Amino acid sequence: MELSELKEIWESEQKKRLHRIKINEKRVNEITVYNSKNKLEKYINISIIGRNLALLYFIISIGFASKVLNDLLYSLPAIIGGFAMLFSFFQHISLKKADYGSMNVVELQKTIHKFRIHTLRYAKFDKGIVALWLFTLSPIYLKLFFQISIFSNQNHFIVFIFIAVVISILITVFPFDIYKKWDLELNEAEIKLNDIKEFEIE
Amino acid sequence: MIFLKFLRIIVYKQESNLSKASKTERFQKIIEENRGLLYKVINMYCKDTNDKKDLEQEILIQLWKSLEKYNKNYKISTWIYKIAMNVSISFFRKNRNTPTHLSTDSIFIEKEYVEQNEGIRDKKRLLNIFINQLNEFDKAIILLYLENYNYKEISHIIGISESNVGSKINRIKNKLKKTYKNGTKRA
Repeated sequence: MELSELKEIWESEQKKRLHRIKINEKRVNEITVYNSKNKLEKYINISIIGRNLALLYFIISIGFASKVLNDLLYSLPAIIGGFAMLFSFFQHISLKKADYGSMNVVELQKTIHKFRIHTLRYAKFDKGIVALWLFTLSPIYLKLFFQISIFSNQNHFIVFIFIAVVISILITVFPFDIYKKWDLELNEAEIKLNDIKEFEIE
Repeated sequence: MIFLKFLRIIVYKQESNLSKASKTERFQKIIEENRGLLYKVINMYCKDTNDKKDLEQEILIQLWKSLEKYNKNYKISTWIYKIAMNVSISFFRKNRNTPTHLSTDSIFIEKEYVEQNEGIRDKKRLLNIFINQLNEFDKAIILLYLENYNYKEISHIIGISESNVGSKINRIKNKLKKTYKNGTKRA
């Protein structure tokens, strides 16, 4: 059988089909006018919001540090934490939304897989930056809002270090299988990106 | 002053409601006129009934969101193909691992139909088997080819060179011959 023969079957089938199908207007309205939730873009949107929040966290850190600027034990770690967040923001600056309307098929698939590879590759690193930001900001927070000066009181300092260690351990090991899952997903995304590149070259 | 501001808000709201109503009307018309196209793409990439409903929803959302950005230099069908295929391929790749189902109605109301002619029925079966064997990109190419899109248009939608489109179509033709040989041998 030739492709032209296939085309004939295809065309006659489509003509018949047009008479058989109608559009369910009520359902179309439910999806569009009443804004049904879009699932495909959820992952990308969350990552972009996360990136933009990093900039906000940087501003918060600098704002807090400026309140205790002369007290270097408090302000310096907060500035370091803030700049770590700023660094994270710039690491993810290349993230862009997939545009289903203007990108061609290959370009869109490449964007999606590059996005996945990027976010998965930096996932562990981002977790560390969040932890660093929390630990460098919380001493100022405790001092300003609860008048607890952890660096002036040995007991407070010990309690803070203890909490910091516990949280660090929890962040590292919980959820237990996330790193394995990320590695697997990263590997899968890399394979898919290679498939697309091969398809482009062939 | 407050009264004027209030009036302006009411006028603005009415205008935005009107524009939303006209957008809805226009959108319904586009979907109605291109229902066959949407049906084909969805059925090519999805076999499961629930998956199809999910995919219909994702495609409609993207079409709705992109409607204002539609470039009139292109045919409306080209624009719909591009979005429908982009969403379908993303959906196809995502859903191989994580199926998600909605319990909703389909956007299509379809009458039951059984092909009476046995010869045509066999050829249709073969056509389906053949298309299902193709990867998601080749499916997109063959669909556009069957819809009489030329190499230039296919290359624009898929994002590969015209010569690459040509060689891929040739490869698909050869694959079809093999499938047909195997199909007739089995029969």
